Amino acid sequence: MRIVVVGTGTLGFYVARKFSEERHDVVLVGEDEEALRRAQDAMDVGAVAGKGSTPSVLLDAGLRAADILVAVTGSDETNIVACLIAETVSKRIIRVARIHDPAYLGASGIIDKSSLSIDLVISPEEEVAAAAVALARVPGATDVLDFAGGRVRAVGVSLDDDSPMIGKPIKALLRGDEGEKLIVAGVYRKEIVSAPSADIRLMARDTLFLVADSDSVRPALTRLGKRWVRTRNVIITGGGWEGVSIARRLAAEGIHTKIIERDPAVCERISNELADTLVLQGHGMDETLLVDEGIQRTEMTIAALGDETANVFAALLARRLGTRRAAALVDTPEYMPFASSIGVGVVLSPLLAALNPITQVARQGQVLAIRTLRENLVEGIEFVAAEGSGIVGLPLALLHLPHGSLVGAIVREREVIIPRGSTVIEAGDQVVLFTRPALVPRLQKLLAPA
Amino acid sequence: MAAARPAPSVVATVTGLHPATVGGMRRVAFLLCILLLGETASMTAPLAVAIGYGDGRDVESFATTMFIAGIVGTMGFFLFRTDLSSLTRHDGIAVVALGWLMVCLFGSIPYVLEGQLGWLNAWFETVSGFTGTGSSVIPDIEAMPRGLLFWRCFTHWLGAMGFLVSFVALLPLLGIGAMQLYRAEAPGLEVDRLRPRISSTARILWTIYLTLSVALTVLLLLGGMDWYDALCNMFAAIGTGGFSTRNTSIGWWHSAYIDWVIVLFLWLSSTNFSLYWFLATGRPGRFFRDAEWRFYTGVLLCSSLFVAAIVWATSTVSASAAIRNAFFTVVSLASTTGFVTADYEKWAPVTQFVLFMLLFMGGCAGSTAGAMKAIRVLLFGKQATHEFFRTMHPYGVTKVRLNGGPVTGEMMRSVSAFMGLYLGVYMVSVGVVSLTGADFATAMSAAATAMGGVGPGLGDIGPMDNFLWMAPAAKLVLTFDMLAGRLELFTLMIILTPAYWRR
Repeated sequence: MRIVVVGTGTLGFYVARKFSEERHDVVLVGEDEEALRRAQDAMDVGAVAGKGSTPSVLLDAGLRAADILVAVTGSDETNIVACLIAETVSKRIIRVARIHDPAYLGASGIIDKSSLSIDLVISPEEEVAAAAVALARVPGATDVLDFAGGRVRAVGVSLDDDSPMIGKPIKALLRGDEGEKLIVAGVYRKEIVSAPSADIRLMARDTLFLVADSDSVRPALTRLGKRWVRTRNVIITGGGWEGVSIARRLAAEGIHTKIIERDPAVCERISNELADTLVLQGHGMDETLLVDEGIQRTEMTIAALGDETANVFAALLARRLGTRRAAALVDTPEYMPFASSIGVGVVLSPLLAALNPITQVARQGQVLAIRTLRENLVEGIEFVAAEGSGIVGLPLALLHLPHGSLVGAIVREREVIIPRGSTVIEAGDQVVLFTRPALVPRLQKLLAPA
Repeated sequence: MAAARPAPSVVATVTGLHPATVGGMRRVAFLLCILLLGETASMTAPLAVAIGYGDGRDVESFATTMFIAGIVGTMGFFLFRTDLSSLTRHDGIAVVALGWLMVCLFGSIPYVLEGQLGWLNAWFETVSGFTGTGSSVIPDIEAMPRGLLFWRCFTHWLGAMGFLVSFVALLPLLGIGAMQLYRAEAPGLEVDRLRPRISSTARILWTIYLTLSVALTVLLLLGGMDWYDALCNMFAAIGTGGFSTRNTSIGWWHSAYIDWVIVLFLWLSSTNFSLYWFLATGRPGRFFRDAEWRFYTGVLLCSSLFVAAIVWATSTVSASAAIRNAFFTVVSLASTTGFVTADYEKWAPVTQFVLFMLLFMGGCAGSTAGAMKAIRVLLFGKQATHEFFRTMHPYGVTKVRLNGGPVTGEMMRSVSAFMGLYLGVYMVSVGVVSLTGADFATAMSAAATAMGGVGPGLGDIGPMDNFLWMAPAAKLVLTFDMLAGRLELFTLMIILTPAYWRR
């Protein structure tokens, strides 16, 4: 497919790289020529210098022949205008825009999605808020991905030094009635091993990625030595777009949410917006403030300051002060493994989370959701198995999926099946497949309808 | 991302080199092996011709070469097999520079085994072939077996598009590494992306190349050449090389039709291939208004007419013969081909001056032609006139413009650096060739013709002479010039700098 990406910020880079790696024709458009040059050094994409809301620039980038336009500049207005131009050029183009300000999508009825002619609105803030909610629902996990409307979960668990599973092979975990309902999609130890062998022996500080139906997650975590302490209190540091979105979603879940923001004017504004959240004016790294607000009793803290390195330090401080789980918002993939290795329990990335729905647009077949783990190490794809496609009708063991991929769960008429080698996928099943991103182009052929 | 990190290899431990360096060397070695296998495969064509004609020892020599190269390539392929997606710019330069040396080395083996040429002469002939130069050390071409002659012309055609550009078109596994190779082998001024993906761009260029090749073959067959001559001369023309199958080059056919067809196709192959894409996609304006193409075509026309007028005025030939020979010679030299139909050394000296100047300019960027490239000469000239303007209006905010848009300072800098380096290498080469005893005109034109990939020169290496008599040192320097000129200097010369190896 031909894809025009407008915006040379971090998200624009991610989108361009992702599509380029999936062998699409990508043209990147932006005003920053230096950034365009860097992009062309790092990936196989075309580049057009210019403002993304200028028709001639977009036409230069090949908009007429494009299948998808992704407008992800920092300016909502530029993104909207780019989509309007795309619609004028051809109705066929799928238009994706990043919209920052929720007011654009509010209930006003005039400026809603259709009249802005945007097919998919991307909001990193909302994506990361959804990820935070999923995390809050599974205590003790470092990563939580929901599939099939929350009936299937992929959960990352870091093994503590006193976990009873240490020294035992993975297959020990899969034994018994409860083990039947689990699958291990990956093990992370310095680097990821996706679809690991069942003979791998677990070590302290390994992170296991389990797939299970949502009711079986709790017993699985218990067997791994995690205490299930429901998330009731959360402190968020930073009252920016992300912090506010997260606070709103968590408060709606009935969680006591506190948000710490330094700027009094911002505090004033967000306290009007957030009825169920306690807004605190103060420094997010102020130990006295944090202790006074009971950080040792919070089940989770989320560092959502404007600066990702500050987030790492805020999360480390929260850990030291006794919170159960500390999450930091980090968007640079290179920082992520490093952040978790120095003790930040959870790393959330608004931009990588926003990448998934965009990726989904370009996939063939009926893809319902894409969720990725960590810095895009493992991709979970939820799709409907098409009649006549390569994965239907054969036992999984005979499918010859590329090494490093596995089917994690199958949802058939509301029943969640955790598959084994003899399981056969039927047409119409909802399948959750885990794989390395590099293998996606090879898998596409297998998944496409005949 | 998820690729397994290789354990520190034995090589890294033994040599004490950083594992990343060793990893880079491994990627380079793997690509070189693929390249060698590609060359081996391409030798099936001359082998088939040799078997078909059976007029010499060339069947054995090709079979032996293919056997050796095949074994080396296959062993290396499995020994060095690795993931190529992380190819760095550093690796790309090494692959291109070492790859060209390796391909020329293996390509010269058939000449040596056949028995008429020694190692140095075989090396000279092969480098001259792959770089599209066309300078020869073989006095009597027609006495050579046909398979070998086919290979000689075929090397023009293989080298002209660049081996690695061809890889980029064919091998999807390169990923981002594709661009590193493309940049190193076809540096030009900037990569003209016809399509966002570099591999799609390379495929389009190859399609254009093949189309031109097929068209010329058909036209040559219609002109009365047999299949063998048509193919060989087509290879040399489209690759702007200059090796022919006859001692007297294209002049042997004494055909006005063939001469003009060749002139047309030399001009077409020395035009930027990207322009054909614009033509094919319905944007003829981009073609005909292209500043470089207009400049190049203008220079060809003016020089040809000037030379024709002088030749007609100072000799007894007819006007039509003067025009035909002048056009053929000018286009042949300016497109850096080097076919001949007339002994231009017998013409008035001023025509030789014009021809000598053309050795430096060369064709358009993005074509198969060599030398400095018309666009650099054009920009250099524009920059000079711009300086006059700056002197008149010191406060003027102006820029050199090309095709309507401003030329960036960075591009101007790269043009100046290239011109400076080109002249520097040229002067050193002239010095070395003079030292070996060649006369002044010979040395001056030998270095120019080698760097530009043209073929014949003036003096003792004129259109009716060859390079066999030259001293070994001169031959080595000239082959270096050919390679350096073909790879636009920087790619080959950068691996000779200590900084490249120091990291």
